[in-house]
Amino acid sequence: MKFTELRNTMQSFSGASTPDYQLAYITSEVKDLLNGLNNQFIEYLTKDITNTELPFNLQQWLGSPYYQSSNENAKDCLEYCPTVKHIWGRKIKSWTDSALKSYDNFLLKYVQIDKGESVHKTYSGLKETDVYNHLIAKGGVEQEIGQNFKSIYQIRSVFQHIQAEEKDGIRVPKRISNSQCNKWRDVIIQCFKLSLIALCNLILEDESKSS
Amino acid sequence: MSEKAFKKYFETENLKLAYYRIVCWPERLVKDRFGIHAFGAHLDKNLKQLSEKLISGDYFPQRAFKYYEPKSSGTQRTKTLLMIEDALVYQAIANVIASRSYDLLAENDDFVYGSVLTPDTKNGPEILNQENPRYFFFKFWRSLFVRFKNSVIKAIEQDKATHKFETDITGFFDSIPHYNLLLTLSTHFNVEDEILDLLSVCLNAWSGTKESSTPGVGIPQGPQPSYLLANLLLYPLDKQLISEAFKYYRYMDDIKIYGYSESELRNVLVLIDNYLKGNGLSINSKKTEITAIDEAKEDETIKELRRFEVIGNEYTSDEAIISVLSEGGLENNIIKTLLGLSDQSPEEHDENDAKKQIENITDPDKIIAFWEREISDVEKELPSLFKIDSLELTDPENTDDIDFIRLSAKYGTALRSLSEYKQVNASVELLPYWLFALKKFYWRASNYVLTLQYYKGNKMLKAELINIHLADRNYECYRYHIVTCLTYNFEYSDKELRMFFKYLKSENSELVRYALYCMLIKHSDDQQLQSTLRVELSKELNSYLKLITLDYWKRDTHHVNTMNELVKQMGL
Repeated sequence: MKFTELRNTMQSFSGASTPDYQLAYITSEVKDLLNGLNNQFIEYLTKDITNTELPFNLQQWLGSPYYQSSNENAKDCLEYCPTVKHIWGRKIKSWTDSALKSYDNFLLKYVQIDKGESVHKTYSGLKETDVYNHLIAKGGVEQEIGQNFKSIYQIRSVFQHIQAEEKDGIRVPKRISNSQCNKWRDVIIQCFKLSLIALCNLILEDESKSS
Repeated sequence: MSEKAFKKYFETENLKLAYYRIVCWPERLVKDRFGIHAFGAHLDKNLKQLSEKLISGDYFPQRAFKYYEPKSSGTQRTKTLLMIEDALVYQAIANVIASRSYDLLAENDDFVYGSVLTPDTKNGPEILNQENPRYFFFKFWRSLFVRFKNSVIKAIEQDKATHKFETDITGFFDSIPHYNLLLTLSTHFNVEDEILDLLSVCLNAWSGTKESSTPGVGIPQGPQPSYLLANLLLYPLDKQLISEAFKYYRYMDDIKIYGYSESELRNVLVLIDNYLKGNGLSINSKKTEITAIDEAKEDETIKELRRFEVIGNEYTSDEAIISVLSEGGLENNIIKTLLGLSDQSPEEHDENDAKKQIENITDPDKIIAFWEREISDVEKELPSLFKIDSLELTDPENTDDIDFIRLSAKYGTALRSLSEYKQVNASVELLPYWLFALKKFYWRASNYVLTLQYYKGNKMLKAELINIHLADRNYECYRYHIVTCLTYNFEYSDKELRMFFKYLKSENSELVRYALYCMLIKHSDDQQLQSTLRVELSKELNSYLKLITLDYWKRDTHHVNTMNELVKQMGL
């Protein structure tokens, strides 16, 4: 072999791209997690947030169509982050969006079906905040639950709308830093945790009363 | 290109056998463990694709991951970790050559003791259909070494040889010329030209050091097929020496010949020298000598061989395989296939293993007493190597790494066995002596750190290991073992972890950087530090380093971020 051919051959050995099967393997965790949950995403997510075992059968309590809706949104949460410990920086935006959708169903079921109460509508359609305000108006533990959800909702609004600041008389978008996101994340997870534990206790109390 | 040969060498069954054999390679550090898991996650599909790629001529080897292992001389040995697909190709070629050459090589079993093929290799992929297939490529090294030792002892003590000629080959693996090796494979073992062409390209891709290639010269040290090829290159020499009735013993490139006159051995020396020179190799003149054997005192070679067999990993090959498999990721059926079915023959296990001495004892009290005696022996013998109240050796001329390895292996085995029965603590008083050995005999670090794990959490050890890591800038493998020992045996504050991150930034060795990434990933739950680590990892030039680090990251679900995102961030 001529020197120049050999040199070209030797140079061709480096720089190979990573094979697809290796990339598929390294990214398989979330997929494997979801496959392993037997479609019980909302159960997994709730246990993860509250850090406790669920005291009752969630699917049975929520029933159709609330369970299916909550479960789908919980799956989205898990696709963003396998556990709440993995939420970092701006991920909290989309995670909160899906988590709120998941747990709003809990509130709707509790207020409308368990309690048989109707929620006052502010506008023509039912808004999330109507349910939160309904709970806040009731006082006690329910007020705390409503207030926590409202706080989460308000933080989510910050994510969804452009935050602006004025520079030289012109309003410009304000960047949300990762550390700010992480602070909000801690607040959001804590609000969810307190509310869900409190809601579970209320549901259990109601169940024991009725039995 | 003739497809026929390629189909024979690279049909999926032979590649599957190659895969199982790679899992059984005994040296942990030269195995692409990430690749083994990634490839094995969908083994049949990946084997089929690789087979098709090879047969259609679309396969191309990659440069390998290289690192340096220190030797007692202070120089370093280049070790090679082949990417899984390359390792499969190499092992698949070796499978066919082994099957073809088994009978020829078996004729030399009483002369050649290093890297001897197992009888199963003769049957090729057929063994996949056996009820209890065993996938080891070579017989267990320790039993071969014992046979080698016993044969040499017989030649000197029983047969009363009067002269000995001992030599080895300078930089054997790194100096083998591809042309001569391939010619030997063609001439003596009928390896097809198209396979030799492919092997030539592969060896060029895998040859050389981390920094540079050495086209045409050198085979990778670490992968098992290289040991077969090295033996095959010396096969014609073996045949010639055996046919002339020399008392000839070879353990890889370590050659020993015994005779009854100096002139007889001088002739052998010239014969070997000529053969090696004709193949681009040379005998190591510093280690070559013809000497008269003094019957009145114990021969130095025998003395050395008797001490030597304690060297090597104290874990059995089976334990090494289980540790590879237990890292997860493989299909269950592959784990089932490999676990328990790849045992070495019982008779091939270490005959001197202390465990053998108590295998017939069932009374727990007697077993405990036995191991306590072993521990107590070491606790007496180790300090006796030193002057009283000092870390100065009593007899520095006659005390070396082997003495410490023997004691370290004995102590570690006893502690491990005793811990199955009762709570046991390693003696803190021995710690300065182990540290002495670790520093003085740095090339044996992998042996000593196994014993140091029994001092988990010891502050003095932690401080000393950090000092060693900082002080030694020469030997990357040494630093790798030190950092790995630090990772798994101690806890760290945020301040300490940030200090280790600074070490990572200034570290040149990819092997040590990997160990430092693992340490930081394992111990840091600080989001900011993890974020900084991700940025640092994304800047790495070596994709393999990125992949194996991500793989480590992935194992700890508390620290893992969504892998999809990480992979993108790494630019993979």
